[in-house]
Amino acid sequence: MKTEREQIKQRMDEELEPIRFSAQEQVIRQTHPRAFGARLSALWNREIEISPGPLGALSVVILVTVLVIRPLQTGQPNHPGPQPPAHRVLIEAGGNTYWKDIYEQAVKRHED
Amino acid sequence: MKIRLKVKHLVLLLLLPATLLITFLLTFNPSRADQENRAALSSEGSAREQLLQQINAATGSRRMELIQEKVLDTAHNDFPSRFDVYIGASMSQTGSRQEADVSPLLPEDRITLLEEYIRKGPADARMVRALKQLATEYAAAGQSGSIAEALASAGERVAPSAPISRELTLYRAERALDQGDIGLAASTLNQADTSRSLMDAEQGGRYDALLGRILFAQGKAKEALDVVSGGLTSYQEYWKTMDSSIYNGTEAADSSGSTTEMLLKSLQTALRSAMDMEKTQPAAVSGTLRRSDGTPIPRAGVFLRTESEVNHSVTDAEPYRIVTDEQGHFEFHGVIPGFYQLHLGLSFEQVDGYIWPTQPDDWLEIKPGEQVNKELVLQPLLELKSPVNQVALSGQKVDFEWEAVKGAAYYSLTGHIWPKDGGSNGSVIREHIEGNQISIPVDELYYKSTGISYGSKADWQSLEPASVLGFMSPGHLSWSVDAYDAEGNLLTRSNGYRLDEDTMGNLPFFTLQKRTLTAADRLLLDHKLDQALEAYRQDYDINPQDIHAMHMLYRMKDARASINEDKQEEAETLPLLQQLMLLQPNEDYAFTLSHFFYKQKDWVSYNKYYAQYLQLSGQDPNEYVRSVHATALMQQGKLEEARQQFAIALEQDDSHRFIGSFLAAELYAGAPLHAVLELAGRYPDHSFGGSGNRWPLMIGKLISAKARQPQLFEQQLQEKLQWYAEGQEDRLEQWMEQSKDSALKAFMEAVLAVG
Repeated sequence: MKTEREQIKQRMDEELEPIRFSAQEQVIRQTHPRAFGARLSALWNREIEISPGPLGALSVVILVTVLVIRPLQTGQPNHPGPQPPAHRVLIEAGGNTYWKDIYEQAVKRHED
Repeated sequence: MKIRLKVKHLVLLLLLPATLLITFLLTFNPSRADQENRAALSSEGSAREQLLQQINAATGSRRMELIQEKVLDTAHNDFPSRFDVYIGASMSQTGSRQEADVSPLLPEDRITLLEEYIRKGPADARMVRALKQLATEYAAAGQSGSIAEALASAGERVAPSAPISRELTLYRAERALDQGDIGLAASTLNQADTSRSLMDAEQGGRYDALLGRILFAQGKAKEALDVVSGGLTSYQEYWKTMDSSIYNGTEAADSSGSTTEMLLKSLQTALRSAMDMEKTQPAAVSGTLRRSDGTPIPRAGVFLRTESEVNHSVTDAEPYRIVTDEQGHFEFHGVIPGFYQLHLGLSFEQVDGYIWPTQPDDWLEIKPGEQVNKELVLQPLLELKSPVNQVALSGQKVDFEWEAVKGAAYYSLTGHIWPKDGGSNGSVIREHIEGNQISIPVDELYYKSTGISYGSKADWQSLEPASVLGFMSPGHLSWSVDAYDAEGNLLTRSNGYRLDEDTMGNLPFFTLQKRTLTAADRLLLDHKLDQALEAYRQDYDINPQDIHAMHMLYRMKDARASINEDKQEEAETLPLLQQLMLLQPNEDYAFTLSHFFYKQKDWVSYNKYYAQYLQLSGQDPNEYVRSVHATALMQQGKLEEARQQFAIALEQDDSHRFIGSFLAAELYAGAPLHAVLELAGRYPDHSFGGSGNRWPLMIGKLISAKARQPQLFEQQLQEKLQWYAEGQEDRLEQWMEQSKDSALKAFMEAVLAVG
């Protein structure tokens, strides 16, 4: 024979049957907050799926951007040209006109 | 298909190539020059910011002073741009760049500051300069139209009676004229408040010059000449009075150096010449300045200079000066017909690594009413390949090689020696080389004659030893190459401005180490000239086949003869030269001998050595040699051959310096005066700063003289021409001394001076 207690439990079970507790994780996160490192580690080790199509396209875009921007950047400083500091001295040598400092460097280079 | 991987693997995968790429970019790609440029740019950026902060912190008159100092005073006095380099057909000039010239400001900064200065600065002569500078800035920025507003705001600030108001009016009128709006220029100058009588001598002189130009542009050449001549006279009289009152008559009045007087004189000369030639319709010249890849060059100076101006540097006294706009465009209006050359004003940045290929006799004949278009193109410098960078050569020949130039039909190769005392002596090594390389025997270089140089005393003892030894002198030799198209137009050359590591190219130096110096050579290099001469003589006496001793003996004696103008010693060099021609014939010896016998009128010897010269040089004679030969043929009575040679030479020679001889030969052969007049017009004489209209004017006078007494004139003309053609110069000179001035005398005098 079922005790009264058992009867009450059975009845409670029946009544609570459609109710599902779904916020366990929230409760746990509030009661037992995880360490930052652990979270990072979780993210770090998380598995993802990537389809190679978009990845390839992205790589191409990056590569092209680098290749295009790079020459533009190197080209820009040429626009104002060889801006000479005002104190530089011109010399004529071999029928050409040079900045003395650059010329002397070149002469030295070839003498070595 | 999908790829499964952990986030950490993805990150590593991305991070690794990125790190590699960054390392690569930082270490390899940016060249040193690039980094320096960036450093320069950033320091420029900070200099600019500092300056702008300094100006922005200032207020009131201090602010205006700063704009004056930092913006206005960095420009040229009268012309709104100062250039580092001036290049023309007959000259090039490098200015020195001072610290103050290099403004860190950007064009847009200057525009803003100049606009403010014109609105708020003192309304004096500097304001007009600010306007001129602003006009240039606007043009270079492609906003030429904006200047109207600045002009209006400046106009509101000055009292109509103030001298500066008239200055403003002069600028407005000049600007309108430069832009081809002749009507506006005339009406501006005729404004009621611009009375000539209110002006001082300087302002008045510039008014007259401007009015003269406007009148000419309106087709009123006679009035233009009257205004300019009147203006010049009153300007000169003013200064004469001033000078005599200042110096109390003790010193001669001289205002000829002033730009105003130079401007009036130059206009007077051009106007007179145009009137004489009856070429009185105004012309226009326009064009663009670009690089060979089509890039326009804004902010460059373009100067249209008349015959009388090209032999000095660009001054403020010249009427046709302009700065190129955003598109590299330039335009001159109301140009007086005549002969002109274009000159350019460029910055070091603009000229670096480039040349403007122009030759000494690139003349622009501007005809009445013509609209001339002239495209000016800067070409990259030609690069030398070998021998370069001070390489020492000890072989039997030198293999020269340079970069091939697109469209080049031939090249010419020039060598130079660089004596320690400074200066250089050069010689054309080969002309008309068809490929981009050539092999030259070292002995040919060694015995190539270079020019002789001597010190300021111009005496025998100051003779520069290296110039006598030529390419045998120890030390570096340099070489250069010019490239030409099939028509003989210069395309580019190896010599120019090489101011950056990228444009520097190879150093054009090498040394020759095939031979060792003799004891006599060392004496010469020690400046012991007499001892050296004696040592060469001894070497020659010991061994009469010693070509080097013979060559040096000839070189030294020839140098001494030319320094002392010693005809006797010059004649003594002949046997040496003749023997050298037998032992080691070369074109320099042959030419010197032919020229000696030309002066002696020894036609047998002349013809012999001229033929040898042609054979040894292996190419057609240049225009000068051909013209001299034509004269020699005429004096030998070979009139037909002489006329043919003159005709060919004049087609080759853009200076047409022998046109007088050709005209005389044609007249002597019976050509009518009007046909000769046509020839004189076709080949304008540009030699020695003369006027291209000189010969047509003289022939015109001969025609008038003939009209008065046809038979007598013809008889006299033929007689004098015969004397000339037969080389009887003494007889002609005697006649010229005794006869009174006439068209014939003037013509014969000019003919005799040709050459």
